[in-house]
Amino acid sequence: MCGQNMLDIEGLVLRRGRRLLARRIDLRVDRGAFAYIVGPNGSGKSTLLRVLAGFGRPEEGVIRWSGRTIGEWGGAYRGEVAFLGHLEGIKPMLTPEENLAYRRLLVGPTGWRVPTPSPFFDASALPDLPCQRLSAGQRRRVSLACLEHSAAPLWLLDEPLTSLDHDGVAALGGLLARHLMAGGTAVVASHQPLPPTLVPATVLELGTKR
Amino acid sequence: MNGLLGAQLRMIYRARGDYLAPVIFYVLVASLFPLALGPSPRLLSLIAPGVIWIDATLASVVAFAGLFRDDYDDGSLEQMLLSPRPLELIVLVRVFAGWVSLSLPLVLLAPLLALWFSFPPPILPVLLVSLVLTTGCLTLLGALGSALTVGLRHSLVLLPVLLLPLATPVLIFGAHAVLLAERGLDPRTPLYVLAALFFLALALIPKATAAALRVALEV
Repeated sequence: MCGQNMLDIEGLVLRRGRRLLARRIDLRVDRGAFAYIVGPNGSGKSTLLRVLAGFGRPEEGVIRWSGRTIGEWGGAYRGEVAFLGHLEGIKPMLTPEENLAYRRLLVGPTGWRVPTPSPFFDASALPDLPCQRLSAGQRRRVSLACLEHSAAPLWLLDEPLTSLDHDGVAALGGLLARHLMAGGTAVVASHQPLPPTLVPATVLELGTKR
Repeated sequence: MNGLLGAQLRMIYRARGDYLAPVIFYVLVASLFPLALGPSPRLLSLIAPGVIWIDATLASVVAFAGLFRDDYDDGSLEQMLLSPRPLELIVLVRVFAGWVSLSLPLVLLAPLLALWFSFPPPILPVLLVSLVLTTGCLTLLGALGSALTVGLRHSLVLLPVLLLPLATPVLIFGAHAVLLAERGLDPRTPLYVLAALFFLALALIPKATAAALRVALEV
């Protein structure tokens, strides 16, 4: 039915406040594949990713990860997910490497993985300054460096290409490809076109009249 | 957990300007009383416990309003919630770091304030013990209040309205212990009640705070 590292969404209804965003979402993402979510602003892409991350419970519909619903996973689900949202999730007063060390403390030794052979996003290559003094693109690179060290199998990326330069976009392509190759799964929402090396297994369009 | 506490303290140290303001506020408010009420030592030593308590309560409310605000704004709260570690434990580490950086200075400055209020020196130990317990309770209450209002604007006005009623028992027993000691009576009973309140808060509030933070991030 639903194997290891497989995401299966059935009949999910998305609401933000009282507004209905999506009537019925059915989506299945296999191990080693990723789904690409597109849609106009306000169509519920971020809401979908937040629900998948376990921030709030869906009113209707079932989300299964590796055969179990999020409710059945309980607290253990938190170790399965890496989430990159609109906010970078890094502390502005810490340097890039201190941010990496802090994230390592948060996820614990089992959730942490040193990228091999070499990282796509190298925090030590960034200026050794508090992140509030870095550019938006550099801060995003810190955030992606944290993501790269995550051992979580399910990656939820909300507009990951924001403020990245050409090299950064290519590096993200490499990073995601490596994650999928290792048997991971990902859901990516983005307005910008993905690097051509990345071919999504599924494209989900939100906000279209059906 | 030691590493997490170290990281929290380092972040507080880097943003030390923000954390110094409530301490200065505390000293300034206390220094207004002798100016406004006149330098009569009898009057000042009479009102000292009440003044120091109200002052510590207000400074704590101001200081802890933003305990989780920064985490909410920069997205680290999302990452805290996704941590496999129990959120209650992360909250507790954060509260302790907040107590060390904000409340401990208030406790350490109390002897200075006591001097201004011509407070009898033998009572200082009672003052310090009850201040430690009071600020402990206030820090925990402040964390809960901050978590409850983290997603709201204008929480700086809402938070005192929410917290001050909850802080009343702490204030009553804390100030009462010092009043008893001043009159040469045994201050232990109110101190025990204060300690009981502190441990009750320590047992219940991290869980409530964690739940409030989860609600704050719901879609």
